[in-house]
Formats: sequence, structure tokens, C-alpha cells
Amino acid sequence: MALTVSLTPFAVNLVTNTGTVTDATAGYGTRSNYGVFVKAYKLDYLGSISGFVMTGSNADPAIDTSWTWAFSTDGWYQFWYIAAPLYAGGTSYAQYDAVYSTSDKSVYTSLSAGNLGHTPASSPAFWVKQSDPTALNSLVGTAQAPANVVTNTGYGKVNTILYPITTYNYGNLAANSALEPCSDCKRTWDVTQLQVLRGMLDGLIIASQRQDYSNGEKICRRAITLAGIPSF
Amino acid sequence: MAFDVTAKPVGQQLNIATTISTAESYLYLLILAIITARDLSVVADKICQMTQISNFLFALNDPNILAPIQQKIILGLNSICTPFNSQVYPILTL
Repeated sequence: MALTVSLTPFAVNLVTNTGTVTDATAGYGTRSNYGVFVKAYKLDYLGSISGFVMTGSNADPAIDTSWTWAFSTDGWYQFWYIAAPLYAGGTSYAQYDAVYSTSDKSVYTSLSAGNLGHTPASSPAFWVKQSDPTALNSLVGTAQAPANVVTNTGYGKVNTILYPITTYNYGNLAANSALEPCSDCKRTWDVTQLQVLRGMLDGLIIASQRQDYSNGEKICRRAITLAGIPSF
Repeated sequence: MAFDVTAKPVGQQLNIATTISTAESYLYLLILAIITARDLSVVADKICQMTQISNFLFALNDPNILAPIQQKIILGLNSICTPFNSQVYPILTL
């Protein structure tokens, strides 16, 4: 059965500055038949990326159900996912096929066609170890793509906009305004700032619904800058 | 992006889903215009419009708001969004 990749929900703990993504992928059958790897990327509004190391909930790709990373800012995030099937000694692998080796918890890709009976971790003439298995996503659509993974749709890039800091700042601002509810004397800037942040939260919700990640990133950057301006 | 760019006549009672969709598009355009402004004082009118639309949409999503009141809110949304149309769209080239 082919996989249906789904990573949700996304959660951020601002006390520990930790982001968590949970695996909701369907179709594993037996979960331990796959080595699943996920890596987080932060994107700017132009789509340029920088990666983050993720930690699996069980430090075991054959069991992990969620992954965490050090959260630093709001914005456009992308999660690269790959599920490599467990290596099977009786299967003949094509060139570039990817498998998961339980002995060293790593992904290997086949160096040749008709690759049969060669244990990946001890057969460097037949298999090459992938230091970042999620990078195989970049090969999808090329001749070097792992066909066994692609056929099973065991790969994917999941986009989302995360904005817990903006939500937190809005809450703080609302609380401050509530403590001094006079909106027609010296609280003008607070009220304006509150209105704009409320609008930006609306904008982030709409951007998420429309999958307009670039503009969502722009709104996040502006919202964080705005919240950093001192009241007067 | 695919926005609903159809201007709606003021005073026309519209289907609620159409109105929300149109108002949401206006709201989003306003927000994108506001975030490009370095000085928020120059977009004060847009902030005001944005707040009004946001509040109206919030009210329309409240199940406790009765249908007659919803119709008044829809009329309010139309009157806000329609004249604002020509002012917003020139700013669309973000």
C-alpha cells in the first residue's frame, strides 16, 4: 500500500523554544518496516532554505512518531520527509533504490542493478550510505531518484507557516491594553499596534489557508519587527 | 494568488459565502499593503478598514449572531469593501 505523507500537527513551545512535528502518515502497515527521516528547513520569502537538525522521539527511525527542533523564529517552514523500506535480503534492488538498515539506523542507496543478497552496512561495493536521507527528495524527478521510494510515495516536502511568537506578542499587547482600557488618551499607539497585529494574525491564517507561504513569511517578518517597536 | 476581484454593488444583499470570500480577499490585500509600509501612520485609513472587516468577519463566524443581524453585517461589509476596491488594487504589485 502506498504511503500518504502527512506531518501534523505542528507545535511550538516558546518556553523551551522547541518545535515539534508529528507523523500522521497513513499506509505504513507495520511501522517498523520503514526507516522514516524528517528534516526541518526555514525559508525566506524568496524560498531560499537553511536546514535544522531534527531529533526523533525515540532516536530510532523505525519507531519515531514525532521530531523536534530548536525553534528560533516565526515564518515559512518546510519539512522534508522520506520513508525508506527496510532492507530485505531476498529482494533484488535496482540502481538508486533506497533501503533502511536497522543495524546502523541508516539509509543506503543501491550502486547497481540486480543488487541481491548484499547487506548494505557491510557491502560498500553495492551500497552507499546517505548522510542526509531527506536530501533524496531533491532527486525526485531525476534518473537518480530512488524508484522504490518514489513508487511508494514515501517522500514529500510539507510546507507550513508557524507564528507562535506573533500570537504571543499579540496576547501580551492585548493584556497590556486591557490593563489600561483608555483608548482615547495616551494609548493610541498601543491600540494601533494591537489592531495591526490582529490584522496580521488574520493575514497569517489566510496565507496558511491559501498556501501563500511567501507572503506569510513577509507578514511574519513585519509582525515581529512591529512588536519590537517600543510603545510611546 | 486568485482573488475575487468582482466589485459588489453597495446595498445589495449577497450570499453570505460570497460576501465572506470577497471580504476576506479585501482583508488580505489590505494586510499585504500595510506590511509594506515603513510608517504605519501613512496607512492609518487602511488599518481602520482592516480592523472593521476583521471584526465583521469575526462576528459573521459567531453562531450566536442571528440571521437578521448577519444581513446587516453583510451590508456593512459591502459598503466597506466596494468603494475601497479602486484604492486597493493599484497597490497589488507587491
